[in-house]
Order: sequence, then structure tokens, then C-alpha cells
Amino acid sequence: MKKEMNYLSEKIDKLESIIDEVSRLAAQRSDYNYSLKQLKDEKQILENILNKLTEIALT
Amino acid sequence: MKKTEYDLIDHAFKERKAKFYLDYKIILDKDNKTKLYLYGKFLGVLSAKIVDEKTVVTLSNTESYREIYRKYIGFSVQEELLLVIDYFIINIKDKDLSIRAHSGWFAADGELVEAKITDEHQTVIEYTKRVLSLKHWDCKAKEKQNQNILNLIGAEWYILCHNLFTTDPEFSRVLSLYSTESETKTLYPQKTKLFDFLKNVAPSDLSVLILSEEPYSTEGEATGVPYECLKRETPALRTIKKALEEDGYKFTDESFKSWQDQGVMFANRNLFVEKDNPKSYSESNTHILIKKIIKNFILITTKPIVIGAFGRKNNAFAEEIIKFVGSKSSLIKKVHIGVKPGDHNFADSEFPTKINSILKKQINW
Repeated sequence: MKKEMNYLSEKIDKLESIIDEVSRLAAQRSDYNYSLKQLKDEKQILENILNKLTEIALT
Repeated sequence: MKKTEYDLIDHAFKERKAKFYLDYKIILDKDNKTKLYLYGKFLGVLSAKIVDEKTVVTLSNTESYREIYRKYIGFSVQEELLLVIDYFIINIKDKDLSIRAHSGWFAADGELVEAKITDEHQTVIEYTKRVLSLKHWDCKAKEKQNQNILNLIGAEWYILCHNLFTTDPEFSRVLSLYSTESETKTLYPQKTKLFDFLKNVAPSDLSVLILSEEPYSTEGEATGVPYECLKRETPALRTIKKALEEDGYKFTDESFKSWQDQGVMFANRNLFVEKDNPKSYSESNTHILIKKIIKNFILITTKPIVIGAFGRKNNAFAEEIIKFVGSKSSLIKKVHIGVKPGDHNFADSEFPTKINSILKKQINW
């Protein structure tokens, strides 16, 4: 499970970088807002999974 | 135009002289009992429960507290209440205020701002305000789990990056990784010292971040602060000494405390290591947490810091942090220190002078 958590963490980190980039673009052009939302949703899903795995690891 | 007391307080915060602002108001209630109200500021508002020898006074609720806060202080509230300070013993004597925390009596070490404090009948009953450093306060979190986090990272970081430490999964992942791995392996540093590098440098002091690779893996050497070793002079310490000497400084404090007190933070890319097994957790991505902490720090405080990076990976990592901050990247500058500790380049890098040339307030290395 350590590997999976590590993988998720890396994935979330990468998504966060992309979200940062897209946020900058969205601040200039509103047509990026949809992509930004999609990315944020995806990140949230991964974070939820990671939270769950962390919980399981600690029990 | 004459400055008001609030201008002075605001100025103190802007100049970063103020780390924590404490204000109080004494009100006589209908039964002529004295009530003491305490309110403060540290990048937000603190809720306080106050206990003197006889009376317990608790601020009634968030809303009224915020109203009081706004009415008397006039700052905009940035954060919701995050922290409850467990108790103080207040002693009001001769128009002065002393505060006792669990650890004993201490004097207010911050700026003294004089102000009139009146009761509800506008009678002046006390006359003092002090700016206190939060590190002197004995702080407690409501939840036991959060209290553990607070103990690990210190109150200022807990408040500043509250969401990161309580809801972001990365911090929990690193802690759970450490906990599960330590069941079968000996890891360094020990868990209680894992975040000492953070705890020892309050965000209000932080001005330099030096990124290192990983803790010492030999028994008894890792202290929780990279490079620091109280047991012997390690090769890394020897090269740091050499670099300092070549820059005209003298390495005198084995504990790194004087540097940390001046706002120099040493952080490892890999937060922990297995005993006698260097690089055992180099693929565990613990640096993601460091990146998040620094990103949060810069986004919230907009405070410039200098990043010194040891090694190629850390140089790339420093670049990544700068990229993360985006438009605010001019706030931070990277100093390339060398390839790795013990390497010739390290000692020749003149990093103390380079860092000081960027900083407004020089570090006494």
C-alpha cells in the first residue's frame, strides 16, 4: 500500500502544479474555468482515496 | 497626523516586529464582578480561555468575539478561529499585566504599545498593551489529534498552515509512512523530532531555507535538523565550518540554534532514513510536503525568503518551489551552494556571503 500511496501523492503533486498553471490562465481567460474545475475535481478524488488509504494504513 | 494606537500596532505587524498581538479589556458586569476579555492577532484571530486564580472567563462565541475584535482593533479578519490557548494566569497589579503560561512566568518580549483601555462607562482602568511572540505561549488545540500535530510542528506553523496539517492528505501520508515503517525498522530522526526543523524556526522569523538531502543514518546523529550533529563533527559539518571560515565567519554553535533563531531553516528533502541505510526513503516523495509547506508560507505571508540548495536534486527542487509560487517568484531567490556536502564546491561556494548579499537583515553566521 506504501507504493500506492506514494504514487497517489506524486500524482496529486503533479495535478497541483497543473492546476496552478491553469489557474493563472483562467485568471486571464474564462474559457479555462471548466478545465480548472475538472482538474480540481480530479485532485479531490485522488486526495479522498489517499486519505482513505492513510486511514487504513494507520489502523 | 498623530498616530493612533491601532496605527502603531498595524505598523508593527507590517514591519514584522509584531508576531502576536495581545489586547485586553476589563468590564464590570451587573454584579460588579470583573470580567477580563482577551483578544489577539496572529495572521488571524485567537480565541482565548482565560483563567485567573479565581475566575474563568471565556469569550462567548466567535461572532461576538469578531465583532469586539473589529470594533476595537479594526483589522480585517483573515482566518476563522483556529486555536484555543488553554489557559493563562493573569495578574493585574499596579496597572500592568503579567501572564503566566504552564512553563512559568515570562516577561513580554515584544513591542509595548501604550493604549487607554476603558470599561463600559468609559472609565480608564488599565493602560498597557503588549506584543508577544507566540512561541512563548503554551498553546493547546481542541482535538487530541490536532494537539499531537501542534506538538510536532509548533504553534505558529500550526496556525499558518492549519489546513495543510489537518486536512491535506500529504502530511498524514508522511506520518503514516513513518509510523508503519518504524514498526519493523529503526528510523532517524525519531518521530518526535521529525519536524523539529520546522518547529525551531517560526514562520514569522523565516528568511532563509537551506535544502539538504537526508538525515544522518548513523545511530544518535540525526537531530531532526539537517547537518546538525551533537555527537561528533561529521564530514558535512566540517565542510560547513570550512565554508564559513573562508567567508570570514566562525562556526560556534553546534546546535544550530543561533541560526534557527535568526530565521535560517534547514530542511531535508527526505524527511527520514533507515538506520545505516542511506537513501532508503529517497523515493518516498516526502519533499512534496516540504514544497507544500513553503508554498503555503509564501502564499499566505508573501514574505520573501532565500532558498539555498545543496545538491543537484535540491537545486531542481528549489526551481520547482519557485515555479510553484508563480508570479510571486521574484520574492525568492535561489543560491546554488554546491553539489553535495563534503564536495569541494560546497566549501568554495561562499554561501553565507551570497545569502547575506540578498537579505535585508543579515544573518550572523
